[in-house]
Order: sequence, then C-alpha cells, then structure tokens
Amino acid sequence: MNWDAAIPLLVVASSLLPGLVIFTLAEERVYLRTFLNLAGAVIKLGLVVWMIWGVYHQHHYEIRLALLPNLDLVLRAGPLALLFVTLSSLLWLVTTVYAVGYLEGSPHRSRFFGFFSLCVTSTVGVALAGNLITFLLFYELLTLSTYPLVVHRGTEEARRAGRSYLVYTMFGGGLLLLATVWLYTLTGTLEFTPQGFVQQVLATHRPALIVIFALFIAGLGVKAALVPLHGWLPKAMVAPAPVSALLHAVAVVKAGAFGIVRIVYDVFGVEAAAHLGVINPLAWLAAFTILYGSVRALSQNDLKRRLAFSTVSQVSYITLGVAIIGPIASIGGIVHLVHQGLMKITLFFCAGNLAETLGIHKISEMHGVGRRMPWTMTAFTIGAFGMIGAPPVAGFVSKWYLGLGALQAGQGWVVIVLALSSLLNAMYFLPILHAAWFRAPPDHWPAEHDFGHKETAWALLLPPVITAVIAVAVGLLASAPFSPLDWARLIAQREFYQP
Amino acid sequence: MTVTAAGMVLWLVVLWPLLLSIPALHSRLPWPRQLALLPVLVLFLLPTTTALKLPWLLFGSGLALSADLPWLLAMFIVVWWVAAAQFKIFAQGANSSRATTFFLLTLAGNLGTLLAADLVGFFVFATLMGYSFYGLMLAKDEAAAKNTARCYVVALIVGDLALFEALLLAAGASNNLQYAAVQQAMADSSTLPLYLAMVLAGFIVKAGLWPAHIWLTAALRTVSPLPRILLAAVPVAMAMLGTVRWLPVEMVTAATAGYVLQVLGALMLVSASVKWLRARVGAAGWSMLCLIGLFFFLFGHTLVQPSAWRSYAPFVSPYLAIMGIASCLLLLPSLRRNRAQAGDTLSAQTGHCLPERLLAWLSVLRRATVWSKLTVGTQANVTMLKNLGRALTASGGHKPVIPGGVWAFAVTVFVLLILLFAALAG
Amino acid sequence: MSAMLPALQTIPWAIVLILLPLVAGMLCFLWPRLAPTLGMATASINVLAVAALAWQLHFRFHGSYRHAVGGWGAPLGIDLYADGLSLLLLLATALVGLGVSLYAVGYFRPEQARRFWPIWLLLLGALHALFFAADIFNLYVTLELVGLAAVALASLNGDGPAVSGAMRYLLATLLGSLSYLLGVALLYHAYGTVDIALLAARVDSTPVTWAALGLMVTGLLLKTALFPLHFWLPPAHASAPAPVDLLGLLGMAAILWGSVQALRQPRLKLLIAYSTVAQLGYLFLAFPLARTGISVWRAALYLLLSHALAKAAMFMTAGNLLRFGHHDRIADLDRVVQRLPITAGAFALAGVSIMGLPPSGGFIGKWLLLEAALSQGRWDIVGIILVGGLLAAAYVFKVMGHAFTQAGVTHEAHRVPRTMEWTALSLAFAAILLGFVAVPLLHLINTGAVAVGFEVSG
Repeated sequence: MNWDAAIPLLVVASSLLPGLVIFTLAEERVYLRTFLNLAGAVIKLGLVVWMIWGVYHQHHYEIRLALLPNLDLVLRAGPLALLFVTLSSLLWLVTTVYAVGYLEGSPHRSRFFGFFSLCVTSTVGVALAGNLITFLLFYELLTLSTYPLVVHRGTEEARRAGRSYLVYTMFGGGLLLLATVWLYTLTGTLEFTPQGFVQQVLATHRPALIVIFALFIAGLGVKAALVPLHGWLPKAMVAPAPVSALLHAVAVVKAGAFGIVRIVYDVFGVEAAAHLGVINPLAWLAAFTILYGSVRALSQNDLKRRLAFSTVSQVSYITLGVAIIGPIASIGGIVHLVHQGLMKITLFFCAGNLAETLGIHKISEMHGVGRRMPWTMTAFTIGAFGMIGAPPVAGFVSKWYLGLGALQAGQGWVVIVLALSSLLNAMYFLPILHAAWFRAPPDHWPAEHDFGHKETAWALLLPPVITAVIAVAVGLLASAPFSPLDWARLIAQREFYQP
Repeated sequence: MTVTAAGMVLWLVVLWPLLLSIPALHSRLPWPRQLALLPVLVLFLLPTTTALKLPWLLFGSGLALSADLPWLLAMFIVVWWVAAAQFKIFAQGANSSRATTFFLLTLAGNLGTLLAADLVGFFVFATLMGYSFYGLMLAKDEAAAKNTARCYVVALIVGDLALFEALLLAAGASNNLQYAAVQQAMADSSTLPLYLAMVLAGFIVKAGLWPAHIWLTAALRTVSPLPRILLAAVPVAMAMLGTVRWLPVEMVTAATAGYVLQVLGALMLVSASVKWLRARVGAAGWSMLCLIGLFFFLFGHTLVQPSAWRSYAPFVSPYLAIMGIASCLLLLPSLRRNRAQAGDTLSAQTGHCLPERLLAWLSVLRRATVWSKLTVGTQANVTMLKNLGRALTASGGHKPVIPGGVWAFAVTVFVLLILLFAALAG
Repeated sequence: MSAMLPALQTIPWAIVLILLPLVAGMLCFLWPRLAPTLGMATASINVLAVAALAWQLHFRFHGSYRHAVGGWGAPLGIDLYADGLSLLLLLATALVGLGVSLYAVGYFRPEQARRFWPIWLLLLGALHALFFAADIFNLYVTLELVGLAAVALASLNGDGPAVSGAMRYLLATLLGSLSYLLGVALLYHAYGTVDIALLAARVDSTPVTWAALGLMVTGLLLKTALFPLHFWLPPAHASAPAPVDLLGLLGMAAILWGSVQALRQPRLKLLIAYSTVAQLGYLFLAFPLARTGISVWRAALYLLLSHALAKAAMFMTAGNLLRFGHHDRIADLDRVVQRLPITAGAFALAGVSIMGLPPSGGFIGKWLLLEAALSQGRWDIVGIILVGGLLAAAYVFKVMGHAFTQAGVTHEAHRVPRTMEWTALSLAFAAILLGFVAVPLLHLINTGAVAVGFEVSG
C-alpha cells in the first residue's frame, strides 16, 4: 500500500472518526471523550509534521477518489495546503484543551465536541482540497458543522445569530456552487494549478470569467467577512469562546480567506486575474474592509464584538496581500493567514477567560483586570500588540511584507491604508490595555468564580499563553527555516517564479 | 576572550534583563535591577568591538558593539544605575513587582536599541522600550501622569508609524538593513525625500522637538521622578541617536529640510531659554529642552552642508551621553522631594507661552484640543474624532481611554510634518 | 467459481423479483401472525435478488436483457426488460423497502400490521413489475397496481381524515389512469405496437403522437409518476420544444411553490410532503434540458434516487417524532428533537441531501443538472435551482433549529423503538453515501441505455 497517498486521508480521518464516536458517547463520559479528542488532535498534528518533513524532501502526498466522471475528490498536500493544515491542527489541539476546560459541567458536551471535530475535519479538508469541487464539498461541510456550534447555547440570541450565519453562508455557498459549475463548463477542469488554469479560455470568455471571479469572491467573501458580507460575524460572537476562537482564527473565516488565496493563485492565476482587471477592485474592497472593520471596532463596548470587528479588518489583510500583484505582498498575505490566526485565537481565549473567571464581557468592566489575571492579560497584550503590528510579534512581519510588497508593486496607497489601520488598531486596543493594567480594579467583579489561588483553571490559562508565545516566536524567528514566513516564501515562489 | 564569547555576552546583555523581568523570577532575587545591569558592565569593560548576527531572527537582525558606543554605554550605566538605586523611593506606594517588570523591560529595550546593528533591530527594541516606558510612567497610578502618558503613547505610536514607513522604504531600496548599507542605498534612491520626511517626522515626534514637545514638557511636569530622570536618556536620546543612524548624513544635501530643522531647533532653543530665564526654576528640564533644540539645529546644518558632519560626528555620542547624564543628575534631587514640589520641574505658567499658543491657533483641529487643559492634565475636549466615530457607528457607548483630542492633534502635527518635509526635502 | 454460480446465473431474477413479494403478500394475508417475519424476509431477499440480477446483467447479458414471459415475445406477448436504469431503481426500491419494512416492524400495532404487510408487499411487487415493464400497456397495468396499493396504504390508519385523503388520491389516480390508457390506445392505433423500444424507433411528430403524449403526460402527472416519461422526449424534442418547455416551467413553479409552502407549514409531515412537491419539480427541469442527451437524465435520476432515500428517512423521522411527542407541530418540536438525537441526526443528514449540499446524492444530481443548465445557457433554470436550494435550506433548518434550544424536558417520554430510529438514520446515511458512488452508479445508468433509446439526442 502506498502510505504517501493515505496520509492526507488519515489527516482528515483523525478528527472525523473521533468526532463520530463522540456523538454516540453518553454525556458523563468525560474522560473517554477528552481522550478521544486529544488523541485525534495529537495524531493529526503528528501526521501533519510528518507531511511537512515529507514535502520538504520532495514527497508527493495525493489521494484521489472518483466523485463524478472526469471529476475526482482530491486531497493533496502542497505547500499552501500544509501551511493552513498546520495552523488548523496546531490550533485545534490548543482549542480542544481550552474547550474541555471552558465547557466543564455544561450540558450537551458530546454534541458540542462531535461537531467540533467535524468542524476541524472540514477545515482540514478545505486546506488539503486539490481541486475546486473538493474544496466546495468541505467548505459546505464546514458551514453545516459550524452551525450547531454557533447556536450551541440555545438562547434566543444564539439562535438568531445562527440563523444569520446560515443565511449568509448558504447564500455564499450557492454563489460558490454556481461559479464552480460555470467554470467547469468553460474549462472542463477544476484542478488547482499553480498560476491558474483559465488561461486557455481567457481570450474567448472574458466577460464570463469576470463574472465568475466576482461570484467566487462574493461566495468566499461571506466567510472571509468582506464588507458588506460580514454581518454574521459580529453576531456569531454569542457562541462560546472556543467556538469564537475556531470561527475567527482556525476555521470559518480562515477558510474563506484561504479560498480567496486559492481562487486568485491556483484557479485564475495572478496574471490572468490582472489581465481580467479584477485584481485591483479586490484590493480596494479589501482595503475598505480593513478600514471599515477598524472604525466599527472603535465604538464597541462588548469585548468579543470589538474583537469580531477586528477580525473583519485583519482577515482582509490576507485578501489585500493576495490582491497586490507581486511576490512580496503575497508572502505578507499568506503568512498573515497563520499570524492572524495565532494572535486572534489568543485574544479570544483571553476574552473567554475573563468571561468565565470574572464574568467580564464589556470593556468598561475591564479596569484593573491585569492585576487579577496577569498571565491572561499578558497574553492578551501580546495579541493586541501583534494586531497593531508592533514588533517583534507576528503581526509586524505580515505588515512588513504587505507594505514592502505594495511599495514594490507601485501601490503606495496600500501603505497609507496599513498605517491608518495600525493607528485605528492602536486606538481600539490600547485603551483596553491601559484600562486592564493601569486602572484600579473594582471592589468586586461581575461574577467571579473561585479557582483557589490560581488566576483561573489550567485548561483555560495554558492555551492563550501557548498561542501568545507562538505568536511572538513566529515573529521573532521569522527567518528561521520552517517558520510560517519561510513557507510563505516557498508558496509565493511557486506562484511567481516557476515557468 | 573569543569573538563568539563576546557575542554571547552581547546577547546576554539584552536577554538577561528580559528574563529578569518575569515577576516570578525577579521577586525571588535580591537586587534584581542592579543584577540586570551586570552583563552590560562586562560589555563596557570588554576591549573588543564585536558583532553577532543571527540570520534567523526576524529579518536577520543582529547586535553589534560599534566604536562610538562606549560613551553611550557609559551614559546608560550611570543613568540606569542611578535609577536602580533610587527605585526603592520611587516604588513607595506602588506595586513594586510590576514597576520592576516595566523597569527591566525598558532597560532591555534601551540596551537593545543602543546595540542593534540594523534598522529593524533598532525599531524592535525601540518599540519595546517605548511601550515599557509608558508602563513605567504609569506605575504609580497618579492622575496627572495618566494624561501625560497618553500624550506620550500617542506620540510613540505616531512616530513609530512614520518610522515603519521609512523602514519599508529602506527595505525597498536595500536588501541589507544595516545602518551603513541603508545609508548608502538611500543616498542613491529615488525615494530619498519621502524617506527623509518619514524618518525626521518620526524621530522629531519621539524626541519631543518643537512642536511635538508637548508630551515632553508634560512629562517633565507631571510624571513621577523615576521615569523623569530617565526621560533624557531613554526616549529622547534614543530618538536622537536614531536620527543620526538612519539618515544618510554626509552623503546627501537636503537644504530645505535642513533649514526647517534648523528653524524648529532654534525655536525650541530660544523659547526654552526664554522660559528658563523667566521661570528661574527647573534648570534640569529647561536645559534638556535647549539641548534637544540645539542638537536638531546642528543636525539641520549638516543637511544643508554635508561636509559639516565631519566636524560634528565625533561629538554626537558624547553630546547624547552628557545630555542624558546631566539631565538625570540634575533631576535627581526632585526624587527626594515630595510630590507637590516634584511637580515643579518646569514653571507651571509655561502652558501659555507664545509658540504654544500660536500652535494652538494654527491647529486645524483647534477645537479638538484646548491647549491649557491638555497640558495641565485634564480631559481634552469633545473631539472631532469621537464625533466621527459616533457618526459612523450607532452606539458610541464608552469613552476611549486615550482622548480623541490627543490623537487628532498628534496626527495633525504628524501629517503636517510629513507634508512639510516631503515637499521640501526634494 | 463454484458450481453454484452458473445455476444462479440461469435463474430469471426478474420473475423472482415480481413473484416473490406477491406470493409473500398472499401468505401474509393467510397467516397474519407470521406477517412481520415474512415481510422482513422478503425485503431482505429482495436486496439479494437485486444484487444477483445486477451480477447477472453484468456478467451474462453485458448490459440489458429481455425476458419474454412464457416464451411469447413482443409484439404479441409480454416482455420483461431490465437494464442499468431499472436496476438502479430496483436497487433504490429494495433499499428503501428494506428500510420501510424494518421501520414498520416497530411502528405498527398488531392490528394495523396484519393489514399493512400484505398491501405493502403487493406494492413492492407492483413496483418491481413497473420497473421491468417493456411496453406502455404493461406500464399502465403496473401503475394501476401501484396506485391501488398506495391508496390502500394511505387509508391504513382507518380514521376519517386518512380515508378521505386516500379517496382523493384514488380519484386522481384513476383519472390519470384513464387519461394514460387513452394515450396508449392512440399510440397503438397509430404505430401498431406498445413496446417501448419499438415505439421509440417508430414514433414521429404527428398530431396523434402529440395528443397521445399530452394524454399520457397528464395521466402520469395526475399520478405524480414521472419515471416512464423519458422515452418520449428525445425524438419529440427536435420537432416541438414548446410542450417540453412547458414541463420545465411546471417544474420551476413546483420548486418555488412547494418550497415556499413547505416553509409555511406549521406541521412537520406537511412540510415534508410539500418538500416532495418541490423535489419532484427538479425532475421536471430535466425536460427542457434534455437537448444535451443523456447527462441530464442521469441528473434527474440521481436526484430521484437520493430523494427517495432522503425523503423516506425524513418521513420516518417525522413518524418517530410523532410517536415520541404525540404531535408534529414544528414550533413545539424542541423538547422532542432533543430527546431523540439519532432521529435528529437522520433528519439532518436527509436534509443535507434535500438541500443539495455536498457530500450527498442530492448534490451530485444538482451538480449535473446545473452543469447541463449552464452549458445551455439556461439562466432561469440555474436561478431556480439555486433559489430552490436556499429555500430547502430554510425549511430544513426551520426544523433543525429546534434541536438547539434550551427547552427543558417536560413531556412524558414515549419510547421509540431503536430500529425505527436506526432505520431512518441508515436511509439518510445511504442518501449521503450516494454522493460518493456516483461514478459506478452513473455507469450503471448508462448500461443498456441504448435499448431504451433516451440517449438519442434530438
């Protein structure tokens, strides 16, 4: 048996099977469930590391399964896929630990962790998809598996958020399906190819291709929270904190952004997209989203809502990087896929900790919280500085490459947008930090839980600390081999330099 | 001592205080602040010049011990040793552990900025230093210091933004980001005017040159003594050092930019001297402002006449060192006085002097900030930015901690500066 | 190969498949107490027989085969005809049949069961005969059988509403049969044969043909039976696209109206029923798209198959919920849904296929349909398919949303037999699985298609 081919399948299965088993478990079997979750996560991570090593040594990991005549389900581990898979599996492990701590004692945990595993399964599938139809399949699966997580709390507000989420994503999914089928009828293939596969019909079907591109962006833009399709994201923050982390950093929003990267690089190809004249509007849209999200974030008093609008803004960095023609900006965009994930998941973990430990949901309640929960707030501070783009946190590296790439591509306006965004980021993050560290704490917190002499439970404290450390490490060690930046360089090279 | 070992010491100099800044560690050690200074003492005594490059760090940063460093290292050791010795007095009534953390982080950032071998390293450590210093300013939980710290942090962010853009321009022109390489590359680059504008705007804001001196005068007036004795050596001297290291001095002529710089420097020098004479107190603060003005006045001269640099160059480090040490020692007595007296480093009436008033009138967003209020430390007025924010969003429920007025003002000054330099530098 | 295999190969499995349920049905009637056992056995053997038939078709007849009953061939005698298409439908029937039988074991009380099993087995036999019919008269007979059995099943409940509903259906189906029979007569008069293959070769565009076509279509529409319609279309298409487009319009209307109605229903069973109307509408969309020949029929067929599985599963979940909570008001479902996770899961999986989301049989069908519509530039159809998908999502999630409320459990729990829950889940899972076996199944549909003639493009 060819093990190289089986590994991508195993990566997908390593969360699917535990997920399916977990569905059947009784509510009170906490240890077995936790064991299954963690075992799946660890195995997945191990397999991913194995694949990274293999791809580095020119192994080829691909598995095909005939779905339709001439159309296969393809799982393939290319460099871009691996970047996203690594991010997802790493953060999944961390989030699982966090979720176990966060949901301790709450109802419907088997259901939650079942869908949780399905969600990651679909994300990994999205990452490894080797053609558009596979991508579509897992992308829709992601929608379906996330919905139960969004409405998990079952309150009226949660259900409203869930409905909003569904309306947006189903609509996006429909557009995506249409675009995919249409493209297939034109080109007869859906296989992701470096530098795209639409060249042969570029001359004959120009208007159609422009519309298809727009449809793709609209379809993926829903999950990637491009304005004006971002409406579901701030509402979805009613979900439990691990779900928010998953939505914002690991799975949903990332899948959308990743899809845009795929569409621009591996379906259309940068050159073709530029030739069609669609790449600049995409850049404008991304830039507008960046500023819009930041401005909206300014006036949010609910911490998670502010973070949600921050995501709207930050994720569009990825789109922006992709939409600026040139290898350097691409590196910035692609690497931000990882960096944003690390920083944002840290922030959401911390927000969850505040809510779980002290009952803090609003920024105006955060005065002096740094003294009560120093580790959590240190992690939060690192994440926030990363978002602002302060060195040496990861966000600095992304911004550096984006700005440099924009200058090289002669798009100076992007630099101004980046500067404004940094400024706005500082304006909505620094007051939080100031309040948390330098204001006097209140006499009593809104709803304090007792964790003895610790600031909170270990399972809640470790994940944000770990992700914050990683966020600093990937920034600080950006030029080290196997760093996200290193991989992003590899990917950009493949897109721009190969014949 | 081998080169590698010297390199290790070089890194230890920065890493050691960083490590010590972890509360769990420094709270268990005696004299943590003095301990943090040990490696730098060793470095000062080392005869070699050395450099250690770590290619996998950030974009390939490194630290280097260059020839002009002994002066600055000496200043560093003196100032920080004094600060460490006075820490106990400062920390009365404050959370000592937290203050120590900020102290050590600022120290590490300051050292890193000094030793950085390239632009990125400088930027990284300057950021660390800048934000930690903000923490140090606020460590004592004083109302007046809070507003000053806000002004400071706005200046810091705005300055950093400009420097970041400058960094991008430098990276666009040169693959190697070491000082000499960048200077060489920028001298020939077409983006030089913009680069010049960004660097000057950034460092002027950070060094507190007129008209961006608001935060500095406010800091001299309101922050607690420990950060005050560090003001000259930490944010200001490092910004001046950055100006010299980042710009291609001696290689380019930028006459108009130079003249502007000279005018700004002269204004600062003159207004500070006049006020000093009138107030007759606060020698340390006023002299520091004068020195800043003089420095930029002379630096403007080198931009007008590059050949002049040759005569100035040997004196840069001693100049900075003397400024830092003198300011520190002159401000030292204020540490021992009580709060009310300590607040009198500058005369309290200076908020109404002519250039500042002029500026307030000139400000496009005059309404955004009422000058006297800002400087004596009450909340700034309702601001345009806040209004904008409210107009754009349905619910503007909570009050931003950093008043929008400061932002509006800082950004205006900053943009004006950039426009000014960009228009003139070419 | 062992010696038994040749013997297996010579058995006329088509005859077995028709006779077995009929005989079993009669036995059930005679010994009601044995009925569930007999029924289950028959349903299981059915699956095996279909498998054997498939194997036989593949190895012995290489595609299709024709069995002249009693040695009398067409045009005089009755032919049984089997090809990939019939095999596929048989397979679906066998699977759904097995599922329904399993479900019925738990569902019916003894006095209901003794009436259910004979009729149910009769229906199975009639369906099998329908799929083997090689001529349009035979189709009439088998359709009539199916219709009668279905009416009887519908009135099984025995109460007022059930009987009146069944009567309404009976009237419609009888009217449809008459209309259809008239069409058959016209055709027989014109071409002298009722054999489908021969007719397909002979038929041309004359008023008589059109009249016959109209009558038969009306008849079949009244019976909501679409299956036999396909053989008409390719030859007729070239000459007169208008009626075909009319069917397309009808389909679009059905999708929109059915979906909107489904969305408005306060009760689960009605929602599922209207959803069926909408889903049948998709099949009609195949008519105007048939210009490209075979692919769109594959799409329709695939939709039909996955719909059969998914909808059966959905009805079963509705039955489970009804059994558990004694009502099927959607607004009050939350307490019930949460107590029956397997049923909820079955509904969700079936819903995925109904919505046409991947991975599911519904998705494959929809993909093929979209592909055909796009390649012909039929944007109206494209739009309807997408809107239909969104509406389907809306009504599926209208129900699923109740699985996630905070409602406490207040109802007295009525136990639902495990088999009923698991049967529903298995069928729904089969609908999902259809999404992964498209290649062999589509291959199967193509097998022997030539004989039926529907790939002869217009």
